[in-house]
Amino acid sequence: MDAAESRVVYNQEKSWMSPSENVRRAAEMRGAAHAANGPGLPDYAAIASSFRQSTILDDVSGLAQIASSRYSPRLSAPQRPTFTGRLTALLLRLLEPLVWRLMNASNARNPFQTVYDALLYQQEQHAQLEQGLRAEIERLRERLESLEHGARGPELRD
Amino acid sequence: MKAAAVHQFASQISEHDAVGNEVFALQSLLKSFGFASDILCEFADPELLSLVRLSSPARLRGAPLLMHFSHGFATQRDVFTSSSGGHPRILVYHNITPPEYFAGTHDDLAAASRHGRDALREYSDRFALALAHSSFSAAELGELGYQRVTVFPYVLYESLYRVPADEALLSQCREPGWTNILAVGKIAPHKCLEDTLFVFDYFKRVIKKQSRLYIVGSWQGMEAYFGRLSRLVAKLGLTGVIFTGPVSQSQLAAYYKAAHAFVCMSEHEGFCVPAVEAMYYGVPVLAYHAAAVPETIGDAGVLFREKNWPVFAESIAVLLDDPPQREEMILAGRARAESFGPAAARLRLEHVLREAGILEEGG
Repeated sequence: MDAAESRVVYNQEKSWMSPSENVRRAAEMRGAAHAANGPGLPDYAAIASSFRQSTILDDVSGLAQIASSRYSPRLSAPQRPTFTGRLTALLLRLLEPLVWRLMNASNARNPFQTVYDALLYQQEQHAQLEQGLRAEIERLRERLESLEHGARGPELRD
Repeated sequence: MKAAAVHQFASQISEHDAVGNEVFALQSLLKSFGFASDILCEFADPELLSLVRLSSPARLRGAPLLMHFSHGFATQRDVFTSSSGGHPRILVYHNITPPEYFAGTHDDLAAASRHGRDALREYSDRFALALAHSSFSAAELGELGYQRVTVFPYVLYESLYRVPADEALLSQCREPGWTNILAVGKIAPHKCLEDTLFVFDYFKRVIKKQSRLYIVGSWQGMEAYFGRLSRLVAKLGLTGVIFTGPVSQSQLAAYYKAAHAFVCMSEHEGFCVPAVEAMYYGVPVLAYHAAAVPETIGDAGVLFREKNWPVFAESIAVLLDDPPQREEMILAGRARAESFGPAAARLRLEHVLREAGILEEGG
């Protein structure tokens, strides 16, 4: 097959490019030649099918998943506010209309606004603390992973 | 100008995350129109805390709001039903990976996916307008009851790509005589990295032994899937596969610059940012024809309607052996990537802001 024949053709099928029949034939020819002169190719289709049918139950690394969710439930689960967080959010929600009504009535700072701001500040502090804890958990989890998989995962080089 | 400020909300802002990057890109664009623009979120990476504000109901109601949505989150009801203060809200839909991809691998994420899709349907009347990053995602929103949906492609955060590549890593990857194939993205089941491994296995066995596959991305929370991929590598007896884990922006730039081909076998993408990044860096893109991938790549990459792994690998070989065609693809890819850059995005955003009544018509 010469170079011109083997080009990936701009066939504009539905405006997208797609590989030509020539490339498909090249794959078949080269695959057959490889099989004739050596051990052949793995049965990709069978391996793919087996890969997709495997589940966490027969997966040893499921242990890593379980460990991960045990060590960092807040990293992998949808975020759930703590009791304090929910209470603060509730108080803010209750105070908010009063603050806005009083602000609209007068430009002067009102006591509800002071409490509201304090709660808002507490909510922010709480969230920042949580961020810090999450970062710490993440560092610990990475440490755990590095112990399990080596420093950068399975680097398989020639 | 009708409004003084346009803010954005996303549940979580993280580094190296498509949602976070677009939020920052849009903030720059909104500021270029003269708007004050805050980023409001519930959670942020500690290093980003100085750039965002933690959200509260009062803050959500202060101005028109772009609300980014890519997965369910615990307080979504509070956020979506909070008072808008009479200001328009615009949904920015990044798409939600369907729960079936996480079944048996990550049950929490499967639940978050279902939770998010339920919310999309329930709160469709809360938004003046919905933006979808692809017509694929727009169709989903239409099915969920959204009346006003505009296709608004993802906005590249271009300043990220001006970060210089890690020179030491680049030189290590550019070892003479070696071919580098690249896959980028979260290591997750819908990315179908097992197919990428099959393509690489064929490529290495039949076409070029001196080749490597770099799989760049975090497997956090996907340890089970990562473990299965690792065992598949061992089963195939495959060498030259490098799972990098999470990388810095300069390392990412090095991997892109050292790559000879970018392969995407994903079966679900609301847009596919890594494919655009690859085009930006001049790497030919070969991808499976699924979800929003075809419309993102346009006519600047090779698309495959079936997962015939040898044909994928042979197509890479054709591109490597044909420098004029490779160059043609690279040029087409760069032009395509530019169409998602800030200049083009600003025009699209202006149109959206007028449509939502945030900018005055003809103003």
